[in-house]
Amino acid sequence: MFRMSFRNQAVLSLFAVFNSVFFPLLAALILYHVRHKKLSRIIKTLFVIPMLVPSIVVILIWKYLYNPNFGFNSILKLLHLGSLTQNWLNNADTAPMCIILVGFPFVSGMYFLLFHTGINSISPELYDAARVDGATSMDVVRYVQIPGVWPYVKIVATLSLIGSLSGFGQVAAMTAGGPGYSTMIPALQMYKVAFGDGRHGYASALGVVLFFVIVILTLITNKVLSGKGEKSA
Amino acid sequence: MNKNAPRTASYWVSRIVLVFLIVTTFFPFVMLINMSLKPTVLITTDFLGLPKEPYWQNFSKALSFVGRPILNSFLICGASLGFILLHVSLSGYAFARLRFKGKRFLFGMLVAVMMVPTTITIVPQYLIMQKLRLINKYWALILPYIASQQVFGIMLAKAAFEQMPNDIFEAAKNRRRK
Repeated sequence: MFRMSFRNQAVLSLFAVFNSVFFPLLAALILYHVRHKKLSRIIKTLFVIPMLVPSIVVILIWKYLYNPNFGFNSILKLLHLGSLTQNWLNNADTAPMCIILVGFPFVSGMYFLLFHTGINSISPELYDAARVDGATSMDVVRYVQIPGVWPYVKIVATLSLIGSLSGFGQVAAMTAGGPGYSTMIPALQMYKVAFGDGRHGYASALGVVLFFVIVILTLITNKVLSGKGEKSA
Repeated sequence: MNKNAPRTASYWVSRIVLVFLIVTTFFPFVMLINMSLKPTVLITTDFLGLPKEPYWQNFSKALSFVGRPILNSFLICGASLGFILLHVSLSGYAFARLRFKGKRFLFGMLVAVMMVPTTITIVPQYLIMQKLRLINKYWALILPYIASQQVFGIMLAKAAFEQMPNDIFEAAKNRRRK
């Protein structure tokens, strides 16, 4: 059970890091290429507005959307795909995927703002130089902007990794680790062992293990990402 | 890149992606507002449709409930914020301006605490609060908030105090002496 929760956590964290790097970065990059000043400001505001909604509210909205009686199932029925409807969160096959997809498309929030700032802080001379060399906008993205925001990618990857390893509110509110132990993660397990079973010693041991896992993974992430940054820069 | 550039395929693809991202970002929130104006039966039978007549009872129920929780939040936030500001400004000044034995060690400890995610400490925190007989009191929330939030604040305050020119502090001291 302990090993299973760590396996779930690995999948969850992998997707969490990917999602919180890829989608906000994509949005920020496209937004930079929107030349229309007013429009780009409006789009930026639109992406920031959801930050005002507390995260538990977002999680509960998604829980409603996964509800067996309405939500996505209603949409599927509308599309005449009634056979695909299911009890999303009560199915051991779909529950982990559902938790990963909470918050799709993951753009709004802190990470988007970080990337936005990062892209705008690239010095204009680099763009001019690229244009003189006849770079297309794809080239600009590939050779100017990605290396330019790489430090921010590193920060966001680290932050989201730590967040996904230590946060259990999302899983607790969505499935509470069930059905069975199919979505159990170590942090939630620690909480349940401590406050459900009252075994504080075991829970503390879990906490220590989790802490070391976080430290080691953070160090590895930093190593890997800094290596890549030098290559592409 | 300039305004008159021909609108290539990548232009359209990127704009479509952007619109897709915006629409999917807002879909849950639109549904939230939509659902908040419908009775439960209508949510099950007609999920996507707009309510023909807004069902305000949901809101009157929510508003009658929300008062006390918000008061709690204000009390806890206000109290912990007050203590945090007091503590952060004083210790930030100490770390930035004073010289005392073990300063580097203490600051290192502070940075080390910052590395530990708060989730991991909830179990010992609960037990400490239990031993202090503070469970089910506001203090059980306020004290951990102070303890965990002040760390980042001290860093900020230290940086701010370090950036201030030394002359200001000297001038303040001289004025005292006169």
